Amino acid sequence: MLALILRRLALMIPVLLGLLVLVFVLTRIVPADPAAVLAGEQASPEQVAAIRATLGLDRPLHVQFVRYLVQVASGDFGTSLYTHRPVVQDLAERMPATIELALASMLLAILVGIPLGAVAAVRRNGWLDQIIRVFTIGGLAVASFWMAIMLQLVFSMQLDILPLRGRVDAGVPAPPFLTGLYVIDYLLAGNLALARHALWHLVLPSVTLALPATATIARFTRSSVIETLQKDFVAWERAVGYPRRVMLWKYVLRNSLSATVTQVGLLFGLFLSGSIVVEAVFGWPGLGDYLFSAITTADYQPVMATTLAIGVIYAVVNIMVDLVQARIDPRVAEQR
Amino acid sequence: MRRRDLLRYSATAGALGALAPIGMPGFAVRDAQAQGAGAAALRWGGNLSRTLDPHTVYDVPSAFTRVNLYDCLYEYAGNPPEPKPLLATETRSSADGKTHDFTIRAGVKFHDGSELTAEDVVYSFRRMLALPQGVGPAFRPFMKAEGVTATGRHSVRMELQFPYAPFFACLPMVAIMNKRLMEANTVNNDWAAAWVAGNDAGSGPYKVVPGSFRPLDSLDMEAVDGYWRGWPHSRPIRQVLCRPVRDDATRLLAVEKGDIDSTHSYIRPDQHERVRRAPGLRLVEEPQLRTYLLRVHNGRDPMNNLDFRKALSYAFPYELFIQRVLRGTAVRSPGPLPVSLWGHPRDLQGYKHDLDAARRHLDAARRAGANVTREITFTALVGFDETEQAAQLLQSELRKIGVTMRIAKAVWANAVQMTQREETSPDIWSHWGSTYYIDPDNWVGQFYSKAALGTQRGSSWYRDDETDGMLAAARATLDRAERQRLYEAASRRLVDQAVDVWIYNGMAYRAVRERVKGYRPGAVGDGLDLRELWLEG
Amino acid sequence: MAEAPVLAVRNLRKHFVQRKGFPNPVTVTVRAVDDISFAIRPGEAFGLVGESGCGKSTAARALLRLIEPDAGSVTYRGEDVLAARGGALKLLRRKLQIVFQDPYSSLNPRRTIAQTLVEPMQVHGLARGADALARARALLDEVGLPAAALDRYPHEFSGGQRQRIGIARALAVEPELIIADEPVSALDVSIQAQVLMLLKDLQARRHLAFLFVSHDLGVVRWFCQRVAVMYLGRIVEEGPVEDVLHEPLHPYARVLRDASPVPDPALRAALPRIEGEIPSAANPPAGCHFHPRCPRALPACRESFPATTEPAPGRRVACHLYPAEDRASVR
Ligand SMILES: Nc1ncnc2c1ncn2[C@@H]1O[C@H](COP(=O)(O)OP(=O)(O)O)[C@@H](O)[C@H]1O
Ligand SMILES: [Mg+2]
Repeated sequence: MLALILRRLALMIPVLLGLLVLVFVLTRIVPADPAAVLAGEQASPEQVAAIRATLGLDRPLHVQFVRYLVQVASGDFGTSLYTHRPVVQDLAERMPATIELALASMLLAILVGIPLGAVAAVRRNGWLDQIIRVFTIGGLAVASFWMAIMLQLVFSMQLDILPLRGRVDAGVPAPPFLTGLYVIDYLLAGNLALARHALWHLVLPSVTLALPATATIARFTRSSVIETLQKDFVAWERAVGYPRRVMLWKYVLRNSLSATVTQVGLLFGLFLSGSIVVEAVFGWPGLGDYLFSAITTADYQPVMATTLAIGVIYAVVNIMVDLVQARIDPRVAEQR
Repeated sequence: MRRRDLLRYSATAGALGALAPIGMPGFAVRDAQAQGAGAAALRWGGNLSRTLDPHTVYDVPSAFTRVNLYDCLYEYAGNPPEPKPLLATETRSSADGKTHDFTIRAGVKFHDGSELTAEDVVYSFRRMLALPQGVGPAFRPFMKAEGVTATGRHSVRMELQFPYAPFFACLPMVAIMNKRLMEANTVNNDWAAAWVAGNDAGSGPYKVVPGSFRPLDSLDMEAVDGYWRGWPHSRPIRQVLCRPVRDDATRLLAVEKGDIDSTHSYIRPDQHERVRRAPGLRLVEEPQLRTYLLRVHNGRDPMNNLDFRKALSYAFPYELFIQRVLRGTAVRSPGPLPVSLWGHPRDLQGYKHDLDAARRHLDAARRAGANVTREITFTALVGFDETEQAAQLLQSELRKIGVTMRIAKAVWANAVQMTQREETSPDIWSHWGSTYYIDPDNWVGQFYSKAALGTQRGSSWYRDDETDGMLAAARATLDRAERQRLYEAASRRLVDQAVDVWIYNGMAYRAVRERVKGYRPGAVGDGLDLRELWLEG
Repeated sequence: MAEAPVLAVRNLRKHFVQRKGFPNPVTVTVRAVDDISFAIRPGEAFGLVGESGCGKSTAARALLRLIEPDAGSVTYRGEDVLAARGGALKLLRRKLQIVFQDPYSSLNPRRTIAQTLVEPMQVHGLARGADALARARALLDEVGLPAAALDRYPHEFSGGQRQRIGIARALAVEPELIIADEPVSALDVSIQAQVLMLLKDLQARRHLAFLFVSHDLGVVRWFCQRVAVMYLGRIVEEGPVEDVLHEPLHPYARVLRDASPVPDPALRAALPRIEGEIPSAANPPAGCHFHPRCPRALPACRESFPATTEPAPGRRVACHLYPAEDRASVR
């Protein structure tokens, strides 16, 4: 197992390098001059040129890239031109917020999506299946910003049972940093009330983010459960008189989850990209928000580092998915 | 600092834990607000800048922290705002307008308790001049670091390279920083830029709660006891929690719900009615000096033809744009200067929407050999719908007189890049003339001097010796009447030459909760004086 | 007959009703199994043959209630299988076991061989713990697999080995009758004979009755004592295997026989090829389903489906060539 993890981690390096090259090229071919934006409207052309030189932007592209690689290899992800803070520090503050949101959404999507898909498969073509089908088609079709606003209007404005935005209310102090996930950190600090407070803040954004993923997972689960149900061993287990419930949830579902689990890994990418919209609407101080403002001001170092961070999260999650896969499917474990 | 955080945390958490009934989220939320923040805290929802460094950014949100965390030698006061002494108690200027001696107020304390002296002023100006971005570029053309010297514990001399009349209007841009504190936090000659980006080194009425600043996201400030200017209200706001809202829809919901006490100042015209009707909310109108104009490339055929430019000026449907697109939230500005500012000729008529006149001038341009059949391009800014709407209106009017215009789109950073060279600069694009310093030079001088060529300010590619001379003369003399005459003459000349298409002077709109009293918009950006506010109930 | 049948199937019917098409769905009824009857005696291997799609698997599954039949009756030693529930049904399912055609779909990929073999014993309260494991080991030995197989997963075995595991699994609950649904047709030809040998061996050793489903007459001739020939959901002829193959009564049985001349199952490879299109079970021809392909079709064949007659003792056929009264017309 360790060898598997190490091998996958090693494979990550060329992938991330490729990602870096791609983002590097993309940020540089966009005809936006970070020096001019940084200098501001009052600056003269000479002042802009001076800034360009100090940033090394006047060097040939490959020189800039090699420099950047050397810098990254030494653990330095640069400094934001605007916050003047090491990008690593900004990321350290924001990454946990995004991860917390993505994890909550993933959990939600799995906990809701798999049972929905399984029920739909068992009640195939019944009215329950039809309802679930409407839900899954709707879940994929609805734009997440619209969904977000609807949820806010209903649960925050009308019913006033869930907070509108943010990770905590203004004036509520952040928990002492342990995992960076507020709900968990408050719990570890022994404060149940604030853990719940943070959890309630998590509800609307994670529901919004989870909706399309829930629909996808439900669809995948449905079709693979149907496929499994048609397998002879299911017929046999039934014939031999295994209890129906045990069979369905223990054997059939477990045999059907391979495709779903793979899907979860891919869906994590959806969470990360979807978080840009969701974080903006719910004032969630995560990477999406940060990346967005860095891109609009051509602040290269944060753009590169954030992309890299997102790439790492994505890759790590997919490695974890593979490990889970290996646990639930002996065939996969064997192949590695 | 870590310990203090923890204490604060556990006190709040304890209070919350005692009060929150199990399983009722709604109550938990309200308790958190009541207990955690204290009802006496102002929850400011205006935008936050990416840095608290008052020298390296100069934009609308940064004015909020600059004005309230720091003091400057001068501030803007009155309506329309004029530069008035603040930390300076006395100013003497030499006859040639190059040397200025300031007496600095004694007894002003920084937040760490040390006294503000001439050394701090000198340090602050030298720092501002040394840093390549933000405020510095406005000063560097006329001022060198060696030109700023302390002549006593409370007196400073500033020598300019040449006489520069907007100098005083520029002084409110420069926050005075605590030299001792800054030097203690300087790493690798960075002028403490890394440190001060998240902390304050000021003497202003509020100070930063350590560790509370997260760029663009949150900042907590506390009132400074014994602030030298005093507190105009008996129960001023002791605690300010800045919690900007990024999303348009959420922002309105947040202020309606009372999560925040105010929004930023860009409430869209289509949302005004909703804010006015919402209980507990009011819509504050903040007059702006900001102008909006179409920049026309005067150096390129056919826009290098005066008649063609006049045709453009007559073709734009000003009233329609202001009434329909802006829903009447702006006033027509017929010339390059804000209409309420001195230097703008009160009788200036400018251009009206008149397609017959436009046709006449187009014919004249055609006769003079201008290539009027060429398709021209309007570069609209991505993310600024107004620029696209202006482009569409102009496009449909031009079509009526037989001029074809294409609409392209660019992000701001891209547009800035394009304007750096005459060949790549757009045929037409549009931007706002924001207030950096309140002086006619900020608009007319910055946009139409030859020195502006190669930046987005000079993107009209306008080269006129006579105008350039007038603008230079207006900078060189401290005689206010003479300057006014020069700016009025320059304005008329620019309008006669139809250099650009000037459209309007904006109004900013902010939703503010009723419980916030004493609210008065700041002169520049979000630079309101928080001391004047109090909360009711 | 001498001995009471262990399993008797009477007028078993299974129709699949499907709605197909959009936006105007049409209801299609597939008469997969249409009133079939047969009986199996203790220790007897009874063959069910017919071309692919004629309803053999459906019949096998329906009588085990893996799919619920629409009509008919199934009795196991006089007990009504279709009406049984609870403990009685559980016992019936122990006594009637099935070996599937596809060894890749018949074993749960997430269970080790030990689990696969032990769990049914536990479900039926036959053995548990070490005892069950010992039995499992013995079962593996019986089907010719090493005890080391216990801790492995199905994907580690070849198709033939899996089929052996499937057989061991069926034996785990000590059945009396095994329904083998084309147990070797998915295997390599070289493996087929070994598995057939094993089955034959077990039948003898454990005195098992078999319902042996196959499309291969050669295999049936070698394995079974009696055989029923199915065509489009119906049994067209039934009798002792030697008689039916030596002298088929029904024209379809004859065609089937003539198309499979090689008696040695180990050499059998190709499926029987029969002239003419195989009609669909969804839309069978009126009258005798076989008449469009029948070399000896009579006008009556177009009109009505022939009744089943017994032209000779122990032999039954459904064909207009053999009217009920006229036994003399046997050639
Ligand atoms: N679940 C089902 N739904 C609809 N039609 C089916 C189903 N199962 C089998 N059939 C149809 O019933 C007929 C008989 O199938 P089957 O019993 O599998 O044949 P065999 O085993 O003889 O090859 C075929 O036409 C097949 O398409
Ligand atoms: Mg079959």
